[in-house]
Amino acid sequence: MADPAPDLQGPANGGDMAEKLTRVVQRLHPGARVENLSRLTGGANQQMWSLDVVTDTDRLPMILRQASSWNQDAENVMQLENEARLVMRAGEGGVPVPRVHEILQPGDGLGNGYLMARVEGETLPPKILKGEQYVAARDVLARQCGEVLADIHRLPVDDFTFLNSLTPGDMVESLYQEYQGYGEPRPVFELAFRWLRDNLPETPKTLTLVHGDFRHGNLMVNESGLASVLDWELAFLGDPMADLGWLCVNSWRFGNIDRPVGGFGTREQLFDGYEAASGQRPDPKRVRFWEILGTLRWGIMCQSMAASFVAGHDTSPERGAIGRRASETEVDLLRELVPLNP
Amino acid sequence: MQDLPDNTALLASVEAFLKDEVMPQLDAAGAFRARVSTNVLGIVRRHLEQAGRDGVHDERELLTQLTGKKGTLAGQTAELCQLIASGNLTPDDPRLRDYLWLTTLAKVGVDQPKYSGYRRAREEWAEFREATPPQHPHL
Repeated sequence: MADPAPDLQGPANGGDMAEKLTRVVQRLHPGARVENLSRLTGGANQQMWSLDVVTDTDRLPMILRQASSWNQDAENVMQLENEARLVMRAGEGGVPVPRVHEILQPGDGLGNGYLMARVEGETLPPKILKGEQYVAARDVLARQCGEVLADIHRLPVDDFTFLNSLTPGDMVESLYQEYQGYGEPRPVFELAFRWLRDNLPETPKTLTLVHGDFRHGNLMVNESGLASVLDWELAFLGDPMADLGWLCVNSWRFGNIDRPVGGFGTREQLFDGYEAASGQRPDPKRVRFWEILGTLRWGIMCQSMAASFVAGHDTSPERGAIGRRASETEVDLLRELVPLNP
Repeated sequence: MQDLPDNTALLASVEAFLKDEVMPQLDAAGAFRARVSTNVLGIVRRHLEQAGRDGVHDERELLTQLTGKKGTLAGQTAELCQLIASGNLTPDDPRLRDYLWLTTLAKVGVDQPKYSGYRRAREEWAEFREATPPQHPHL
């Protein structure tokens, strides 16, 4: 039987939270203490907390990922304990991920979530793309992304029945349904949907694990390159090339428009790494399909932000401003789909 | 007609105040929100500036030509979307091509004039227009 959903919104519950967490960490390390507990982010779906677990001999930096109390049973969102199992599987398969220390149990009174290692590294794109200390990392990052993606795509996940299977056609149609739900018809998006339907690639013989959000923000970088792949909650079974296309979307190049892979590398470097690790060279045409779908997907994600602003769910300037970013994807889609040839 | 100073100058003044005087006094999270707020005012200011300029392309007239119907801007846009979705209008049609490029450039010029894709597209459009003057009125 599930515990009552915890309410962790008020600072008054901080002490209670630390007590409950102490019981969890003592399962791992008898006698350990929790120190420096602080909330990092609080989103609609989940919260992140930072803490140190202090034992007689060690100080272990950890992160708690915890589902928001009103979102414990939400559909369409991967349950955090499933995400934890996926991250553990990725680690076993040689993918750089933070170590999962412990999955919360119902009796812990903390809802769904898990404790993982707090990894040192940088996720902010401007720092990764401009920082002096990342010069060497930038040279190898695109190739490393290719290698790591190949490793992700061959992870055995047959036993993970929580993963949805999506063919390329499913992806286009579910995106179209979402777009239509916003009731804001956009000619460039219609044109992109038309192009995607007319250029749909064949469904691969085997659908593989797809990370689903492999891009800046979820890639932790250190001086030697890719240190950790984060945020696995959008993973599904599908066409592995979807991850490569999504990584090339112009919105993640942060101004470095001529370096298609995250603003730091070339497609050739990405494909070389992928081929070296998997023996299979990505088909540029198929990757381009996914880049165009990815551009449209980001546009519709921005449109969803605009919709939540308009509906009054979040009327912050941040939410409004990101809603207006949908138009950046229209200019990118036009340059791809309606090129000007004088 | 409102008196001077005009709306765009007022917005620019508030943007400068937020950026130069408010942001430096805030912590990192507050400064971030103030910066986003400044950017939002910039969007509104650029839209007002664009609407006030002469020689702006007539979106409504282009839509009437493309759809063959009159109506509200939203209604005509929805109609155009149906024509594109059904394949009755394709970007091979120079009128649709021009409509899409002009309206998109105008929108992103308001929303994010520094966006890399927009800067590149604006160059491409200028080059194209020089080589291929419009064959149809209202552009």
